[in-house]
Amino acid sequence: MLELKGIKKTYLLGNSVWGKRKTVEAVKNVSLTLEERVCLGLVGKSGSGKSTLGKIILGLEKPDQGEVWFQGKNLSNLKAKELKELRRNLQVVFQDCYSSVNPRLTIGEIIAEPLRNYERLTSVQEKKKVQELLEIVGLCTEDIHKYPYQFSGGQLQRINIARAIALKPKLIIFDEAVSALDVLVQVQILNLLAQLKEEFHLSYLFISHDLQAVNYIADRLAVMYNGEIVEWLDDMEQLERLEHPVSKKLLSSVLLPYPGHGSDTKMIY
Amino acid sequence: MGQQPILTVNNLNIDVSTPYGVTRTVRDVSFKIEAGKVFGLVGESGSGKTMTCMSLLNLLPDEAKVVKGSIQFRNKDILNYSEEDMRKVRGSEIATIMQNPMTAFNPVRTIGRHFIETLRTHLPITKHQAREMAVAYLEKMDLPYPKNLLKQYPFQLSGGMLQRVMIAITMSLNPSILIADEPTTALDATNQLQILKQLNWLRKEYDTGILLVSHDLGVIAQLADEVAVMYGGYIVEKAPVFKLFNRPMHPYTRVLLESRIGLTRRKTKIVKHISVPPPNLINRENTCPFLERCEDADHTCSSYNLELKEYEKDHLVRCLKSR
Repeated sequence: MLELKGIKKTYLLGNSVWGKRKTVEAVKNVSLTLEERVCLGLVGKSGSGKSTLGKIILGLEKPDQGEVWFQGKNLSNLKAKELKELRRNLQVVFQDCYSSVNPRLTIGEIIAEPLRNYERLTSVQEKKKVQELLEIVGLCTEDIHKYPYQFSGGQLQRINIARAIALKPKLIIFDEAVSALDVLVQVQILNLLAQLKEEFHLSYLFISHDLQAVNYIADRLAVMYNGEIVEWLDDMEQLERLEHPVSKKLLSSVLLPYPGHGSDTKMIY
Repeated sequence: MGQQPILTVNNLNIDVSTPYGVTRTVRDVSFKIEAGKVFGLVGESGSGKTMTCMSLLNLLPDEAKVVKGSIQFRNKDILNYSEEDMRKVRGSEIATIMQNPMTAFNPVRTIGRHFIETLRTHLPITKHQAREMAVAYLEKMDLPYPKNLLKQYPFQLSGGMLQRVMIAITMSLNPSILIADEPTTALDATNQLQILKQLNWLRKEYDTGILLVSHDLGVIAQLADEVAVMYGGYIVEKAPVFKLFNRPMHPYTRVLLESRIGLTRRKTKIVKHISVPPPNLINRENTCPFLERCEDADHTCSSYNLELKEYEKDHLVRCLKSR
């Protein structure tokens, strides 16, 4: 459904007028495929290029090289109209739930925004649809008139999810979507995502630095380091078999919630 | 190792006035921090963890007030300290590390200026001596090229590095108590582990007592010696770390422990979750804060004023059902 072919992205650093500007290769030659109804976990340290890759898939950044194929079409040479039609199937949820909503819109307006862009609904239909979506993500239908500041982070993330699924997309990209939440709320959201994936036959690209969360939800795993995918895992059951040093380091830095576990890793120096 | 606690919090109550009424944010909180020990405070957002930390530094916002209780630091109540006395204690005796290292630094000042300013405020040393000290402490935190680092601005460093700089600054004054309020929440997993290791090294090397605040049981399990679970402003359970994890008595602690994902797969184990929102803290009665969310609750629960009772030695629980 989604295929990346040799994606490359370089950022220019600084704004020096003289001399050569420094560059950073955020993504170097990444290729990957994502099948339908699969959740691919993309893990890596901060600065490894995970988010850049997500932005390229969404079309928020243009790759310097390589192609993004989505539903059999190359995103880079589509006409604006075709692109718009294709994009309804591609949604995103970001880490910072507060900055991803307009603070001056009501929840109803926030969730209705994608609907207004793509579907012509009467105001009654729209309200009904928004209420349905709120119920799906586990919020009250009365919340429709409230404003973002009246919600906690976890609730707001549910609203972002409701907005993302409003158009029944095929692929949702989660960029650290649960990293800022409490552990309890994290589990709630992850359970919700797993349930939505089954119900609406969604595919996920789940970007995170947290191997625990990724392991909980993903079907397949890609480990990124320095702009490259250094290891693939098709079966999450075999997490212990990760071989690349970067993957091993990520694995060993998972803080297991059992006391005493730390004591053997305590104080290496 | 010190048996005498350095910091004792007794029966702390904090009220916060909001436009909607007075919230009873912290209620009857008591704990001790000993030298070289880590006391962990766990709880969800809004459970009163950060307010408790702020009161230890006498840094509560204007809306918040300690209405009852005492905070004994070396046998003196710091709530009675004057602003001037408090300034001397803060930093040099009781230090703090904040959650977000990016906002804790002044963006237009170099790391060196932050470091030297802090040192010279508290110690009678020259700039040159301060710089040398700064380099030495940055080295101890395993930061590469400490001399260059001093010339850099906060935005040039990563979150993990900034957090380590913050710990270095904090430790250079050799405080006896370190308050670490969610020190690793804003960091990625590999940095997180490193920071925890460094905190552990600190308490062994300098015998610092650490108050470790987190919502992440992984962090707590890694480092804490004793743990208190906070819910709705109350400490609902307090026990040595192994007892708490092996034999949680309060229903909320159990929910917390069941929600740990670890490295289990979702297919093999669907983690239970509770979906009732956290308690409303305005004008509430003195009953169990967990009442609405509790699975074991019945009519007897709502009619009792609860106290923290010793279930077994060192294991305190605030629940009717656990007895």
